[in-house]
Order: sequence, then structure tokens, then C-alpha cells
Amino acid sequence: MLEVAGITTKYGDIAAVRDVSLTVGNGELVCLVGPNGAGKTTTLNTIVGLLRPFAGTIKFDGQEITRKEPDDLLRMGIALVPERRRIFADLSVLENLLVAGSILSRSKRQERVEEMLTLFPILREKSQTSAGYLSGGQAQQLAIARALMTDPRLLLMDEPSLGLAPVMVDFVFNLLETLRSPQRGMLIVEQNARRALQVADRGYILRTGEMVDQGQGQELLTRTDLFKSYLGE
Amino acid sequence: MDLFFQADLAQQLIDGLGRGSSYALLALGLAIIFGVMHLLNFAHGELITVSAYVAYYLSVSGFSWWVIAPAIILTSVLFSMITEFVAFRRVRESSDFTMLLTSFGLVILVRAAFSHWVEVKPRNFDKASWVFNTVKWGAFNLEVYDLVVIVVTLITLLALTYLLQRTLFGIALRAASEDFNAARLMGVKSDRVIRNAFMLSGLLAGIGAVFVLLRRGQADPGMGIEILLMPLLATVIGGLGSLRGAVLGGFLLGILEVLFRSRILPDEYSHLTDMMVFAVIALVFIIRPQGLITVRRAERV
Repeated sequence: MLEVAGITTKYGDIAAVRDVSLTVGNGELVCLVGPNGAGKTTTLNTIVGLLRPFAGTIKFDGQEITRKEPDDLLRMGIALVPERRRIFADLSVLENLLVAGSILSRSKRQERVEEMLTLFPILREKSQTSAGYLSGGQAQQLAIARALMTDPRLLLMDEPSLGLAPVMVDFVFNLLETLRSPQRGMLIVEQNARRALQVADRGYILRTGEMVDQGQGQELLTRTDLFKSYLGE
Repeated sequence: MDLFFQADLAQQLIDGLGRGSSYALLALGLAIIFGVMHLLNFAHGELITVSAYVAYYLSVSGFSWWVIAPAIILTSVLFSMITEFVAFRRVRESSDFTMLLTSFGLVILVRAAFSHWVEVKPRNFDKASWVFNTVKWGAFNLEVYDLVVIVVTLITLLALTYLLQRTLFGIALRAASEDFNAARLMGVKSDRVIRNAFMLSGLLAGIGAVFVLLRRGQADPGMGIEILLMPLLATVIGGLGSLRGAVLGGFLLGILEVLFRSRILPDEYSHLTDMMVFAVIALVFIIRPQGLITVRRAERV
């Protein structure tokens, strides 16, 4: 489904990610883990078109998408739950969902809004509330609901558990399991490496912009050397 | 407070609201552009310059204000969209400073163009005949101009509120103003939302230009930056990025101007009005550097 081949993304003259390659297959949940500053967010932002890679290619279902705009990628079926949610604080919960469905027809958009309000009951309760007044956990639910509005085939999530209380972290990771489907691939970036690898089919380890290891999720979990050397434990 | 004082004060407040209406509409246009591009567009005043020359040529050709007014609005919208396409779109990925320089460049370009192809001296044209008429209402002697301007501004603001709150166009624009890249992730096309912002900004400037030119009846190459000063300050004093702040700032400055000139300062010092208004603005910035209204950003944990 997703093939990232040798991407290098720079900020000015500094390469934040160098020669990074990864794949996500249909129905797979893949995680990308690494310490702070490893380049995980840069990698995701490059995939969704917010950043242009200096080198490398990105393909989705065999089609090159390297230089496409985020809205084009959303139409193709790629959606991102950004780091720190980036919900529109001055818009209501409902308005946030409506914007996220802006590429859909009016009737489809209303249908999807109703589905999201059913999937996340707290959002129905708070639908007219300014999103800026939501708690961290509620905001994360809104951020995920926004990304799901277009029923994406590839769902990218950047640090979904960041800043959340333990009970909300459990909620988010349980939700990931419910979002799995044979038609949907998921790529999750997490600093909470252990938790991410517990739910993932496969994992990639990123450190200072370079891919240092990869493998099956359960297999990587048993690698204490990995956690000591690369994940700072 | 005696009746005469009340009537006098009420008239001055209405006069201030009338003056503040054009400030508010121009400030709103600036705030909309700032929201999506983080650009304080100094070329915004040139929409009025170009519109003024269109008004001049239509006026000397014998057209009435029933034709001139919509022509001003249309000119403003089109010129705003042209500046976006020709100038600002080319430098959108550049630094904020480059975009600011581009806006200054447009100011100089417009001034030079009209100075060269028309003339440096102002060109006068007919003001609307009813502009200085007054109407008596009880103890009040109100200028028809002020009443018309206030009513039209209120209608415009109501329509704008509906557009921004109840349509996907408006919701997408508000989202892009708050977080442009997050809006792109939601499928909002960056070219389209910026073009729409310039179109809307041009429309508001056009209506503001009609108010200004109805009374001014003059086109000159350097008028743009002069007219833009108060709306620019209104945008900043209201809180950069806040549309409500821009409107509040505009009306506040209009009222302050009139009150200083007509009530607070003695007649022999009325020429110090602008200085006093700027002093109040400076005070606001000292007390509230972020402006009167700030946008909510905090997320509870």
C-alpha cells in the first residue's frame, strides 16, 4: 500500500531524515518509534505532503505521490492525525468535523459526521462546544474523528498518546485495534515504544534521522538491547 | 446630564460609528489576509486608490453614484485577486519579510503608475449630493451619510457573520486562518482558500472605499497608504488575527477620533486629534501588547 523509498528531508541545510525507507501493507498496523528528535514527525509530514523530500520517492498503491499536496492525498485516501492534535480551537467540535469532510459531498459529509458522533459519544455531547475547551483526551478523540471523516485507506497518527492520562492512552490504543480492517493500513508514530510495539504488526526504529532497525512488533519488544541503545531505556 | 449634552454626545458617537465603519471594514479585510497568510498587507490601501481612479473616470463620463458605487466594489475585488495571483502567490513560500516587502512594492508600483500615467496631482470628482444632508430626529441632528454608512456596515457584518459561521466556505476560511497547514491536511486547497480570502478582503475594502470616496471625492496616487493607517492600527489594536478585534478596533478608533476632536480637546487644539488617538493606541499596546482580543489556544489536560 505505502512504499517510502530512501527519503531525505531537509530543514535548510540540515537533513532531519536521511535515506529512510518503510512500507505499510493493506490491513497492517506499523509503528515508527524512536526518541525525541529522531525525525518521526518529519517522516510523517513528508508522507502527507506538508514537507517536500530532498531525495527519495513515496508511492501509494503503486502510484507516485512524492510531490502531491495534502488535499490531493486526502482524496486518494491518506489522512493524518497530527502531532498535538492541531484541532481548530476557535471552531466548534461540529465545525472541526465539517472542515475535515470538506472534500465530501454534502450528504456524505452529514452521514460521516453522524457516524463519528456515534463512534465518539463525547463529541456528540460537546458538538457545539468550542474545540479549545476540550480536555486532552476529548481533543484527541476529535483529532482522530477528523481523520476518519473521509474513511481513509491509510491512516497516519503522530504521537496519539502524547500528553494523555493513562486511561486515555488505553482508550487510544484500544481504538487502534477497532480501527483495523483488511482494507486499511495504519502507520503510528510513537515515543511510547513499548506500547506501540505491543499493538503493531511491524515496527521501524528511527534514531537521529536514520532507520536503525526494523522487524515484527512482538520480536522487537523482546529486544532489550534495542531499548537500551536506541530508545533510551 | 442635561438633554443637550446627551443629544450632543449621542450625535458624536453616531458620527464616530460612521467614521469607524470604514475603518472597521478595511481592518476586517486586513485581518482576513493576516489570518491565512500572516501578512499585514500594506497594499490593501491601493485597492482604494485604484477604485478612486475608476470612480473619477466614471464620474467625469457622467455616470451617477448608482453606477460608480458597484464599480468601486467590483474594482476592489478584482484588483485584490489580481495582487494575490500576480504578486503574493509567487512569494507565498518565502519568509514573512519577503511578503511584507512585496506589499510595499505594490504600494510603490501603484503610486508610480498613477503618477506617471495620470498625474501626481489629485483629481477631483463629484461627491454624492446627499452626503452632507442632515435629518432631524427629536433632539438629534443626524447626518444622512452616517446613518447610511452604519446601516450598510451592520448589514455587511451580519452577512459576513453568516458566511463565516454557517457556510463551509466560511468555516474553511476560519480553520485556515487558525492553522493553515492543519486545514490543508483536512482537504482545504491552499490556493483556493487564499484566493477566497483576497476576494472577501477586496469586497470589504470596496464597500469601505465607497464610504470614503462618497465624501472625499478625490483620487490621488498616494492616498492608499494614508487611508490605510487607521484601519491598520485598528487591526493591530484589536488583536492580530482576530476578526472581532478588527471590527472593535475600527469602531473604537472612529469614536475616539470624533470625541477627541469635538468634545475632549479645546477647539484651538483640535489639530492634535491624531496625536491623542495615537497616544491612546500606544497606551493600549503597553497594557495589552497582544491587542484587545486574543484567540484561544490552550487545551486543558
